[in-house]
Amino acid sequence: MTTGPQTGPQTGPQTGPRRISGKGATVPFTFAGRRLEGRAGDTIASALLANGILTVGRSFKYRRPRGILAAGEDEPNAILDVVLNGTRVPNVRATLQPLEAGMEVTPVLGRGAELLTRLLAPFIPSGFYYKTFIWPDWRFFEPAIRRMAGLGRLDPASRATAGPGGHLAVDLCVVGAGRSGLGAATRAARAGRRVLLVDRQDAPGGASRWRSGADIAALVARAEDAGVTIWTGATAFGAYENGRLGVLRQGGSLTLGDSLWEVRAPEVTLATGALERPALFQGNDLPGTMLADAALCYLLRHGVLSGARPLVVTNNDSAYPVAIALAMAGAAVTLVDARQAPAWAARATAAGVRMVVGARIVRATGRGRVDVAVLTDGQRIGADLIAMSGGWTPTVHLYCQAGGKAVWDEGRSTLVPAFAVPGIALAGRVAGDWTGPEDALPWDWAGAPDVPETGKAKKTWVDLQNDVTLADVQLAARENFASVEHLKRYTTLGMATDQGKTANLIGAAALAQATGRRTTDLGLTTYRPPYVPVPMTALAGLSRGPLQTPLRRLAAEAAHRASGATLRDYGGLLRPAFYGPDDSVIPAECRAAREGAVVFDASSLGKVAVMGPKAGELLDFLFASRMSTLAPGRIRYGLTLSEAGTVTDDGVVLRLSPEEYLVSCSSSHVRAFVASAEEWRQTRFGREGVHIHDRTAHWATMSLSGPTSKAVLAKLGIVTGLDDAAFPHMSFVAGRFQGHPARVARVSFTGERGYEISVPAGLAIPLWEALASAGATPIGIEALGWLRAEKGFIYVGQDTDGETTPQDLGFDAPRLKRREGFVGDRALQLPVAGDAHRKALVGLSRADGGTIPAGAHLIEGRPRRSIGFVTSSHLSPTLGRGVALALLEGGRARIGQEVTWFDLGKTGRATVTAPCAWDPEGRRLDA
Amino acid sequence: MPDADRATFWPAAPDWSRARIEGRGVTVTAAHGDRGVYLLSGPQDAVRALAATHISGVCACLLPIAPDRALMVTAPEVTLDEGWQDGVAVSQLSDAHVRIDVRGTAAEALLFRASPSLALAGDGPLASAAVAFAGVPVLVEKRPDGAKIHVELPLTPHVWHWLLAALSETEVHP
Repeated sequence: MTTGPQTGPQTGPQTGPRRISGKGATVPFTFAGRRLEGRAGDTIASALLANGILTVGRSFKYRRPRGILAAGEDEPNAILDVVLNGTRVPNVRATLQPLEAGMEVTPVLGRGAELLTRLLAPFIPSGFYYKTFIWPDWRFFEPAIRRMAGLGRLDPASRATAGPGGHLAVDLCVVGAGRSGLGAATRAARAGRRVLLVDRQDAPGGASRWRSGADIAALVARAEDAGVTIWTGATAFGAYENGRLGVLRQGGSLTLGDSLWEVRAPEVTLATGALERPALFQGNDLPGTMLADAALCYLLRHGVLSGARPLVVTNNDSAYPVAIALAMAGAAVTLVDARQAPAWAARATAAGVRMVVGARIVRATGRGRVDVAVLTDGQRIGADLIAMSGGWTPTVHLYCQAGGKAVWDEGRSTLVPAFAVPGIALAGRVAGDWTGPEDALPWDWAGAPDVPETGKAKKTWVDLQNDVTLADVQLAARENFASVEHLKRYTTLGMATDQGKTANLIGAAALAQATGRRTTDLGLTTYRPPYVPVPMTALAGLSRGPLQTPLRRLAAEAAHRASGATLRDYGGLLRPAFYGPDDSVIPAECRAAREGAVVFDASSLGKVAVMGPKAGELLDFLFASRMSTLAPGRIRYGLTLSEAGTVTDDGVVLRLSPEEYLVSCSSSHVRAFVASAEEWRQTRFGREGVHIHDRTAHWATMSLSGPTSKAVLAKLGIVTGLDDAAFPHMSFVAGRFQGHPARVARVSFTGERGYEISVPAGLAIPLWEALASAGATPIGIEALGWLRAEKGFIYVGQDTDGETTPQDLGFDAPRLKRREGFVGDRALQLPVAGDAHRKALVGLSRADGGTIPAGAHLIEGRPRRSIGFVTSSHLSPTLGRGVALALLEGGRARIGQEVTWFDLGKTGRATVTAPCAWDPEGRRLDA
Repeated sequence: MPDADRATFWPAAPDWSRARIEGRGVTVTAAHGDRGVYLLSGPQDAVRALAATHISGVCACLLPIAPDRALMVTAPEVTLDEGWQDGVAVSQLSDAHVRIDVRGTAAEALLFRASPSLALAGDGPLASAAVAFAGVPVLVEKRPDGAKIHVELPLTPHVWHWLLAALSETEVHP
């Protein structure tokens, strides 16, 4: 039935969107190279519409022209690249991004994009990839597909920024600053609670900004007076455990970037409203097809009339205010209502709206934009805008993320929360409350998804962003992808940046129809964070560049820089690699260690105190060798093991007093050792008898070694008695440096006579400078590695792997002799631990004196098989030949034999030797 | 490990005795080695008793870290022997920490930004002074107009440069 002032196709001089009202400063920008003007307060989308632009890009798969569908976060098409002040930001959501002067806006997918894909589009339905790229191998096609996939492009020249984010704790967080949200927030704040109100729009008010006659300004003023903190341009995108919400705040400018906030609130009120659903008909993706609520938003918020001849199609009452407002703005409006006797019809007719009831739209046609609509009763109606309302879906995303479940209510044709979630309250439309002071008539907003049973399903779009058609859903159903989760994976419906906000429900309804079931029985796909795309820059926040991974520094770093050190990252520490511009200085540093005296900054070595009556007992348990038998003043080397019996670290233990030990573990294992020791202390030894303190940061330690190191140390006067008999290797003495306590330990990292001098960290630089002045040559960690390789000294983690046990390194006592329990002891008694073919540490040398590549495999047999690998390899300046360490199957039994090494296609022969290539008797420790 | 010299990528640490950041309603200063700082662990009563006999001077405090662990900040001239003392384990950490003092009208927002634990505590006391701050473990001593952040010396450059970056951005306030 048709009533109203107009009949038949309508034509007129004014077609398409245009601005009809509003004030504000002009904002120049460009779109696809065209110079345009928007107004202050515009979003990019409203500015494009105001300039008559309907097509904002091409679709992802079929490259069809697409226009602006929505006015909020549900927009699937208007995703654009924007350059502002030289910074390119990809995938900007035009419906949410405020317009700024100078923006250069371009479609993510332009007309000429991927011509081949566009031509092939009819031949690539859903599931095409799965069916087609099986032979010869998916990986054969994957690179090309990955190049073609995705939206937007990153500009390496642009430095993306992130705004300041952080943490905020409140008593209540209200999400959504519409009437319901403002009311809930105000009531809570008046009760004395700390309340944060967040809303994704640029001002509070929610849909009431264009739908209700409520005095939003007064509501906002009341909320602010009550002390509510209001964040606009802030989207709560995720509900996480322990009352945490992820909130993304827009920066003041596009180039300032969004910021990420973690809001903790024991109570959350969701006043998130609802999202309008599109209608299903042929050609429903043509530019000029828009959600009815969006058309109202653009008209009343931005003064933009989206069409001069709008056709409003609906199955519920919510589109009537839209039609009336468009008519009052001067448009020639036709409203098509699927219902026979809508309550608002008379009101619409009185406003000059031409009414068609009991009919549906079948298809829209036009060249690149909407031109004509055809109804079920055969009417052809000329239109430059189709404003559609297929019902509403409450925005239950955060409720579901918080543990709730939304179910489809057939009677009300919408989603409803199935049960209450502790700490989560719902208010307004998300709770099914559609009443309000502006509603003069009963408000039938439900409207079930209307899935057409006839017509060209290939031209009926369910998911605009993923180019999923009704035919794709039907194909999936025929191929027995009959659950919504399967449908999503098979067709990609509901994926990508909009996450199917306009598509999921109608997709489920389409699948229900195709499979002869009810939407209720199908369920929904799982709602997961984030609700809106969160830029990686916002997730990273300040954690970029040098702030990305905190690196530990040496107390004497300034002295190392002044000494010309090349600094590098080693195991979470910034350390001197060598002292010079390049590694050509390393041989000289090595020779200085063997011929004179060198100093190495060893401050990062662990200094973990274990104190108490049970300290020895705990250390006996933690180490593979006994420590409680150590005499005060003495030092012992030891290994720590995992419970699987594998080596986790090595180090030395100093017994400071009968009830106090100091563990010097390796630099990168300090925190792991402390954590492990603390766990065993608390779980096995109790809290009373032993305590563990990490003193590492308090002390700076310089390792002095070399044949003349004793003379160098004597010049400093830190300790008085340096006689070897009184101060032998593996002992320590207390001393003083510049009036402060110091400790000198006789240990060796290089195989030469060595002293570790520890002073409070504030004296690190004076000690370094004193040692240098006394004749010690600085060496970096690279030279140390070379020197250690000559001696067969291991680096745990480099010269061991996840299976290396003490006996593989030549330490048989823990397995064969220790009787009392210690960490890893049981694993050492397993048969596999005694297997003679285990990989063991050996040395390697080449007859020609050359080096073997570190990482090279040791191979044997045909076909060749790896029997081990090279862990460290250097050209020894001391020996004048290459030295290498390796883990080799049955290694100790192979000493003297030749093996073949293989590396990147090269092979060679090497002789297996003992690990220690320099001073195996250890005479130089006292030289 | 990259082969390049990373000395430029990782900015040098400032001289802590002169380090200062000022602006956006926040003043940040640092101090190192000017207080007696001791880690005490053992039964709570014993720890408190030991601390009571040694704690003195300006800014002296006992920061709870764990049920059996606390950090005593005392006058620099106070000396306490390390080791096992009547059921309490004692370690001197005077040189282990740099104390970063954050104060000012915008200090709270900056501190909340850096640490979820501080944001959660709000105006209230911290159950434990050990919190994550700028992504690393620190000990926090709350003050009426800000906080003193005890950062392990090796991690102090990171926290300092984090504060510099945070305060150079456009906004700190929520």
